[in-house]
Amino acid sequence: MGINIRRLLIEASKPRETALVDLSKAICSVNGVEECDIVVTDVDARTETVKLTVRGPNIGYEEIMRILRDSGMSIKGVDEISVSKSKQVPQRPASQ
Amino acid sequence: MEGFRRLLSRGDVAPLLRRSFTNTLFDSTFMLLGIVVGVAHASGAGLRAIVLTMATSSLALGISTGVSVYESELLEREREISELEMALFRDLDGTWIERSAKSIALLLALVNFSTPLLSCGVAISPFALVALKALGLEEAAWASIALALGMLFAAGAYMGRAGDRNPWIRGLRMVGFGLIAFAAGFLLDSLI
Repeated sequence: MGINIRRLLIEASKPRETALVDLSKAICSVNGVEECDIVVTDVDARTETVKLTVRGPNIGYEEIMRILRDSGMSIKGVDEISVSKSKQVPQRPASQ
Repeated sequence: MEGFRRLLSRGDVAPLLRRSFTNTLFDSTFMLLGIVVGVAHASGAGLRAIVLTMATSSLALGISTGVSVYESELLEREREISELEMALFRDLDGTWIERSAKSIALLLALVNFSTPLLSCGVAISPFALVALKALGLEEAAWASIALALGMLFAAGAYMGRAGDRNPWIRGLRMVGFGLIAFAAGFLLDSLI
């Protein structure tokens, strides 16, 4: 039985040089991620505050954080999270 | 390759490279015009002296602009990163922001270094024909001047096109400045 992160809502500040398209593509390239939405909620002279929604069957949290940090983002926090327990289907004994 | 594409997608990089290329192209072409007028036409120097003067001056200009642009650009980018670090409340060492700043400075330095060599390659080509005995020294000097003026026209027209201006007028204006430099070189020769 495993615990899978299926949805993450992260609030972060990013440098204006970091393009949303490149950032969203990098996040979507992570294993277990199927969708990524980014919304700019605030614009400053040098930075932008963004809300990232990441969806997928088994999101690689550490890899997402590594990409965000490498892109120069300052993570304010994880605002929402959806986690599920994956059930393993019991194997039937081989019929004789 | 992806990193390079990402670097070029930054809004400030392409205009910076364009500006740098055209500025250095003008500098190096005017310098070569001066050399051809001063050394080839006026002093009547031999082929070896002309070619060596053009090549070494272009190399020196390339190194000079390359190094100065790298240092000044890196300094400016580091200052911007420090301001960004204060705005983001975090250290940006080792991030894409820091890596791209170094890459931009290096790319600009490379453009500034190679542009004088490129214009030298064009302006020096008629003198290669002299070495092959296909052209006289006097004709080669005139051909070199014509090529230099052609480069000025192309760079001016390109700038005009990039800035939504009439490329013909911009190109001819640059040729006009080139002709002024050419005439000044001849005038200087008659005065000294």
